[in-house]
Amino acid sequence: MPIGKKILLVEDEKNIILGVKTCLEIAAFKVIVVEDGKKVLDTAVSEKPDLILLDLMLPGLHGNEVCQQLKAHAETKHIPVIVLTARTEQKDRDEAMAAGADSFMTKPFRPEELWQEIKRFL
Amino acid sequence: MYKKIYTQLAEAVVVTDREHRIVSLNRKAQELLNVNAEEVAGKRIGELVDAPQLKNLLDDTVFFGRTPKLTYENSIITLQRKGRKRYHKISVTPIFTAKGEVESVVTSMVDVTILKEIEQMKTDFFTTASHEFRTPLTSIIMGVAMMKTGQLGELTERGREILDAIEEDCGRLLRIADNLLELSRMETGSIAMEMEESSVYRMIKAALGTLKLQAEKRKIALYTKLPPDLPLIRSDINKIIWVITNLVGNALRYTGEGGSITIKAMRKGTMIYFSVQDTGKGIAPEYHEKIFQKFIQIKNGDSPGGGAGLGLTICKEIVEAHGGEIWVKSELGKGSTFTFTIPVGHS
Repeated sequence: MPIGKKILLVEDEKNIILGVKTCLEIAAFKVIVVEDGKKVLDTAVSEKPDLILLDLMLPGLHGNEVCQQLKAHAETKHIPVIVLTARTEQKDRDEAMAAGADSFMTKPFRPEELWQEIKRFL
Repeated sequence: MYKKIYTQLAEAVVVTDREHRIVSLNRKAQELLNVNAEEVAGKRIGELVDAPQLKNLLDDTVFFGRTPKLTYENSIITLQRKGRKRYHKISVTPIFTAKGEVESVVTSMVDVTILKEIEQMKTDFFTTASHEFRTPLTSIIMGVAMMKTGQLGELTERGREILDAIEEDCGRLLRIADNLLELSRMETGSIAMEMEESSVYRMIKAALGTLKLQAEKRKIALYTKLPPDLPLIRSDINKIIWVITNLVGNALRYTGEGGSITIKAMRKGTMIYFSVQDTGKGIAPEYHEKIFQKFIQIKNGDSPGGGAGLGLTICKEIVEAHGGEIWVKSELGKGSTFTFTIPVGHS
């Protein structure tokens, strides 16, 4: 696992933030958290993360719209986006992929599954 | 008197001849189809009711001279009324001449829109509940897994035991949430069956792949007895794998160390018979029918628990959606055999 890579975690549930952030920090990632969908693009532009973990049900702006913004912006379109969601329907997966997501993980997942998925991109 | 009853019936009734031409229709049917009896006499029912499955049912009734077996899916038709979609449950009954030939067919239709709406609400509720479970489960599962690695501090042996128990119960909660969702999708027919020609060997292999380790751990022998010449069957392979996995999983839960489980498949006529036989403690006769109902679990002192009593209900839904049947034969103390049938597909 590349040490010191920066991950932007977009999530509004505080317990998930605690769990995922801890899991990533154990694996020596730097983690930045954004809770509001509207602030993701600006943060991604200024922080230049190596990867984005994106929840779908966000306050402010839906995750799929956030993803579209990221993939439409010259400075962020190359950043891999992994969608993390509690939705299990194929339709949700298709919509996220259509919005430009690079990968899709259904909650709940275990730490090693998350690491494994991140490893595919970093 | 009978004429009055016929006219006043709350159900819509249409009588058609052997060619499906309208002979008569009662008041409710005229109202429902927005026509009057004189106008439509002699017209084919297909001109008034745009539902291909009704024509198929009428064809079968005339041809075979008996009421066809109705499944949930083919007994519900949709009709547009005042711009709104209404659901009607139909039933079809032949009327015979003195010589025993089909003279006409009586079709009755009952508006079940409200039931369909309630079903939809139930599905929506289960979907929401299942999703809402997943978010808190994520933080619990992540937290427990990280604590178990020891990277958040050292654990005592008892602490580790408790974390194992939490992890196991998270898995159980998740299965319940998934099963509720799956069942409610199946019940409303909102799951599309992805039918393809599939190999029985492949499905049994896939199902057992995930269970072998569990069987080894519990020192239970898994045997398969499969003849070499089983044909392909037309089925949704993932759903049949789910059924086999569920039946073998149950057998593992109720079979003691040193026992065995045998999975067989064979062809009899147009059906493939799958069976899962265990040397477990068996099921009392009063449960043989009941265990396929929702939320039924066999309660006895040493039951391992671990579910919500939905697995076999889902198995039954899946098997029946394929046109098959499922049942159990069991004797207390001597083990159980669950058998289900799936029709051989048309290649």
